[in-house]
Amino acid sequence: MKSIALKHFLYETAGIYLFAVRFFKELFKPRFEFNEFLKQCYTVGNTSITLVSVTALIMGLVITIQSQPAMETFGTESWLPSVVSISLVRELVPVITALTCAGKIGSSIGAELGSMKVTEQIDSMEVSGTNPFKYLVVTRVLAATLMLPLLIILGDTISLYGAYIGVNINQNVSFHLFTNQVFAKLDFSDVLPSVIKGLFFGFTIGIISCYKGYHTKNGTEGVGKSANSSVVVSIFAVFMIDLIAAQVANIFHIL
Amino acid sequence: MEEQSVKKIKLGVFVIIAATCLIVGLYFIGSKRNIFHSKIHVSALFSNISGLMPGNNVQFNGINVGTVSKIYAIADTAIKVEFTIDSDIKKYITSYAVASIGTEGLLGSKLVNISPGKRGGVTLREADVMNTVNAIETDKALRKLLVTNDNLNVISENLKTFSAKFNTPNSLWNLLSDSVVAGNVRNALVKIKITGDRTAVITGDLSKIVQDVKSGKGTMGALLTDASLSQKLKQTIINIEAVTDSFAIITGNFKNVSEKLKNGDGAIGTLISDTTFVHKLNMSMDNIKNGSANFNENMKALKLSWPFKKYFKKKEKENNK
Amino acid sequence: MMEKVSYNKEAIIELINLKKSFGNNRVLNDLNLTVKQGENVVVIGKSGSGKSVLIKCIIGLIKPDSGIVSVFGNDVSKLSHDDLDQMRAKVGFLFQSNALYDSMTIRENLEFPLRRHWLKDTKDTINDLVLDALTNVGLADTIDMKPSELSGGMKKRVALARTLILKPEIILYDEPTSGLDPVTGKEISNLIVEIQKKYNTSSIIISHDLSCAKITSNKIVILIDGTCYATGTFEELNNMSDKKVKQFFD
Repeated sequence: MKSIALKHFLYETAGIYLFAVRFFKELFKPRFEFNEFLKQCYTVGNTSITLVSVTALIMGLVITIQSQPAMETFGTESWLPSVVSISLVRELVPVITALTCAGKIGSSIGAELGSMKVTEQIDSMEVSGTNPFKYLVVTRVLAATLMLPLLIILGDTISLYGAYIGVNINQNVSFHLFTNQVFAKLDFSDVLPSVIKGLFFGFTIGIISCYKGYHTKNGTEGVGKSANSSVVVSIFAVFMIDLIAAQVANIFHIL
Repeated sequence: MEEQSVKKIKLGVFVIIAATCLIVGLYFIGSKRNIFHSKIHVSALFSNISGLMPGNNVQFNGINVGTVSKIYAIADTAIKVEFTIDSDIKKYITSYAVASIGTEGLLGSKLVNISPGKRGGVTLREADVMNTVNAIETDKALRKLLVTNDNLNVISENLKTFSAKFNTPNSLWNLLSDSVVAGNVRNALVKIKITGDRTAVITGDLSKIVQDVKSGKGTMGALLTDASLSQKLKQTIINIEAVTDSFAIITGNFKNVSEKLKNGDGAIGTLISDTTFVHKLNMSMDNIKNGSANFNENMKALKLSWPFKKYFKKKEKENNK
Repeated sequence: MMEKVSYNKEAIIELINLKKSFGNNRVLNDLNLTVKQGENVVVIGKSGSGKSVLIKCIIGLIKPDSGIVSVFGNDVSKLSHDDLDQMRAKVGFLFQSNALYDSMTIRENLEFPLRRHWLKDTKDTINDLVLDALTNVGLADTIDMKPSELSGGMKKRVALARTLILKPEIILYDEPTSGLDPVTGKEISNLIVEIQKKYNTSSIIISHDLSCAKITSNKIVILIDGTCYATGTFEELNNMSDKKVKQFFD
């Protein structure tokens, strides 16, 4: 039983890896599906704005409120904006955004490609002379890769506003002072890694969801399974990448 | 088709908003690091940078005016620190300005402090090398102190023999026969008294310094790297140097005096005819005794306090050889 | 250079000793089949007897383990990607599930194959072609609808229109009447015959619907255990006394 699960896991890992390799091969082949790409950007980006914004706002607010008592004990309340903004920008917003997107984008891509697979729409595209991989997978993965960093930036901004509201519940800090305190401690090495991390998050979510959808089996039941495992595996991968990214960032920090 | 173009417009709006957020954020961060300001590059040489890193701030009288861009060693005791300074502020920084390495707050990161220095001088230019104040070298100060200590030892030894001689009636009579020296002795003894007083004060100061150093055990590191404290400490060391210098002179004098006294060319007549002077002499002798006792005590304390322990042990070993 | 492998000058599709298995399940076993110009061949078989695999081999969606698939005299498995594309432009494929793109309107669905093959066409000619094709199947008014708004029979007809829009020489029908009521199924069957006469196409029709086979077939092939068990016209096979053949006609 265990060995079957392990076999399946290794098989899937290899499959996703090969899928990613194929993505890069197809990416640079001619006839770029630009319209479809823009359409997917809209689906991935714009339709996630509300979700990401609300999550980020609440995140900023909650983290600030939760940190307040601890900071108060040490008498370092005035550091609250700096400390909260660093933890938000460096870690929380990228990961939370990636997780919400893994849920939203992952399930939608997994289900959409899955149903296209089982209703033979992917075969139909192939027969119609369109490379379905380019038309469906490359556009979606690329859209996710490019949109996620933008969503993270938006999330950063909104979560900092949430932190501003949170700080002002117990203290009276002007917006000007707040931004000064935030940017006094924020550095390029806080913002850029989180944006780069966003690229990887988006790529991984896109690749995994597309892989799961593209390889759906067993009809309608398989579509549900694909959507489900897209989300589960994407979330898992987001955490793994975050772990790796933290260590890589650490290395560069030391250097 | 209509729906499609609306979607594209919305996508465009989203992309532009996100990009603007990023650019504004990066601008704010960048303005802190002076990336978008016009600036000049200058450097300074330090013998020890105590953990300064590229990216640390450069402050002029407490305001951020630039960042450290590069640090590298150019000799075994010379570390070159290159940093940028805002063009707006450079006109207030002259060639007399002094750079030193300090700490932001009590536990903050390291920074380069620029103090204005003397008035006048030329405005700072691109690629200038600034004057620096190095961290104080405690070792050097200590060595000077030890010479003083040795001298003091000799003095007290001499004084001992002198007083021993003074107590024997023979020498007293010898002294009595000489009337020329008597005036000299009187003068000398007045001087001794003054010296004794001084020694007492000096040793008091020294003991205070040693006490300070001793109590500063735990925060020694902070003490030596903190800009304001180091300034104080530096002053103290300069004082010590001054004290030890004057000590050297005084002990030199003392040597002469005691040498002369040892020779005992009969000035005792004056001594006997002047009882108030004998009284004075006694008092001054007491003072000297107290003073040197105090000093010994201080030196013992100094030996025990950790930064100097090693040094004394080494010295002891050498003596044993 | 395309390699000519055809042994039969009249044959437009020729399958020789075709073998295909999925894991341990042998689906096609030494299958031989020939389709001549202008002929409608109906392939009948049980579910899972490899009918769909058969036509997917012809279009190049599935690669056979061994054997030769020859379309227009070219070995499909040896065609380059571009040549395969050219070949596919002349072969229409009607999927069992219609395979209409859910996210697109009917117009975009029909434009989809056109854009690929004739990029140089102007917007007007594409528009005309789309309207023509829809009118042929009697659904011109659904042009701006989404596939989900259509009934099963309408979807099938739109899918057929999409297949026909490239004016293929060969059409492969995968269960064209499955999931439809008998009346609609009959309509579709008649449409297939009409198309054959109008465009002089050759077709392979996968089916297990006898009424459809009766209307559309020039020749019927019965597929059992991955081989052609019997071949003949509807009447010939209907009169056969073989047990295995009989069970299809009861």
